Amino acid sequence: MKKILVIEDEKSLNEAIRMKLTALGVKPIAVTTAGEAFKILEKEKPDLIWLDVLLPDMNGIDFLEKLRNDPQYKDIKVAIVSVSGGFEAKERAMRLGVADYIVKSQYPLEIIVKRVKGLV
Amino acid sequence: MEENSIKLKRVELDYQEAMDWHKAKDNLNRRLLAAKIVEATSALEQKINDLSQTEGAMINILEDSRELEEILEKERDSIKTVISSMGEGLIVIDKDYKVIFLNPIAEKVLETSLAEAKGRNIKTIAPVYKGDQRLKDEELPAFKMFQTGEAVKIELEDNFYYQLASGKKIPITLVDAPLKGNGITGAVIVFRDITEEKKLEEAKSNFLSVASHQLRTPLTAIRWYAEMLSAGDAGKLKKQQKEFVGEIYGSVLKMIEMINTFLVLSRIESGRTKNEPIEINLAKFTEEIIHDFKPLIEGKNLKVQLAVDDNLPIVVSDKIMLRQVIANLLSNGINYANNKGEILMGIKAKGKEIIYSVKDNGIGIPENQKDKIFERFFRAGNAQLKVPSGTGLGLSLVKQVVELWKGKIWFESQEGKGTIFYFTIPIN
Repeated sequence: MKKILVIEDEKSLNEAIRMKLTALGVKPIAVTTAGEAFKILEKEKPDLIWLDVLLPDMNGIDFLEKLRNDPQYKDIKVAIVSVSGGFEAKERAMRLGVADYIVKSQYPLEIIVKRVKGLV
Repeated sequence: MEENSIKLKRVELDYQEAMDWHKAKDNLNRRLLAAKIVEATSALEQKINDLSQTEGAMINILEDSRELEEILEKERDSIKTVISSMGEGLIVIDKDYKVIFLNPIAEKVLETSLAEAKGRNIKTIAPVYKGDQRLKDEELPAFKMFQTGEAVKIELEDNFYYQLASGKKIPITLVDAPLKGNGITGAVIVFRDITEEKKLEEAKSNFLSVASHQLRTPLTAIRWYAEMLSAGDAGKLKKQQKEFVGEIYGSVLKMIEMINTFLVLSRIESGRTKNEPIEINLAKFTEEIIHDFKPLIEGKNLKVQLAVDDNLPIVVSDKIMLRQVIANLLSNGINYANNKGEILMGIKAKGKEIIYSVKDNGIGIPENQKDKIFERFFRAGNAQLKVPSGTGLGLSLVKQVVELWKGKIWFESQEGKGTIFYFTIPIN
């Protein structure tokens, strides 16, 4: 079973994503902060990270950059799913080799989850 | 004896003759002298006449210059009054950046006095910052002005500050204009302390960011949970329950759309969205946008094709604005297309512009509503039926943006057959 580490600080969204991924046969590991995500990464190796941009303890793009600079995590696939499609954030994410960048308010959850699942 | 008498007679005659000659000569001399005196007198009279005229003219000139001086003094006084009472700070510097003059506002804002500042380098009195970065000499507005001879304008969104000796940073807008004498001899800097405007701007920007994040996040939650309810993720719904959830879903979509569009419109109207043209490969740029819409395109089983002219020039345009326009037109095409329909996007170069088109074979625009299609909040009757969640803001936004980069926008449409929207991007 594929594993996706979901980093989404909004509890209701986090829960919805977790439920949908489970329904589609993916094992979600859902956390709400970048700090928790790093702790998970110490013991688990997910097939993909579902990453929100506006997190309470760190900007998602900075989190991505930190991953890319760490030889241990630099090859993990990352899909950004954010409420804002800010052009600069998107360009920076693309330069950091993000697998996809999705503006979450624009699409039904079902479509987003299928699109992200299609990446693993 | 007789001989002597003859000699004497001759001598007398010679004497007489000599006397006559002398008399004639004297006579002639006297006449010449008289003539000369007359001539000299007349010249003298002429000179006296000229002199008196010159004197008159001199008096006139003196009077004129006194009047001129009075006018100049009045003007000097009124300029002084204007300079000292103007709301903006005024700094005059020479080519070496040394202060020549400060008006009272400049003295107050820069926390100095003219006497203290005169002759000192303005760069040490008030170093210029852009955000947190101190500008290097070659980045200073005055440096640019000295280089080009053209006035340089710094506006609110440029984020410029003067830092004072006290460490205080004052947000400013300014105009740096050349002081011309024999070439450019210095600069006139008119600046404004925009602390209050900056506070308002920050409040507005905070509001926009709150609106974009804090409102969109809960709306996304409502949207997703309505979808899950509707899909039966929490158990099968009765017919009426499903209808009610459908209403919630439609309304939340409308709110999300409205917030997105309002944010863009308010950014454009407040000048926060600036036209910052960069080189863009239009074909690649369009493919990326189509990719973003893939879920919606696949959801409606649509076919989207892109036809691009060979040798299309690289255009110079603003990426954010261009994206806004293309995404809006494509989204309309997707929304109003029939299932299994087709959307054709075309990019052509014609003369000095690019003509971009988005064609769908959807519901079209009714003939009697075509003139209102770019009006804010207007929605054609058939569009309201097909997509109830639309806001009527998209096309008005598109038109505003296209006109910002001095392009044109128009459409061809037939109700029931489809619509083609065209817009242009000038090629420079």
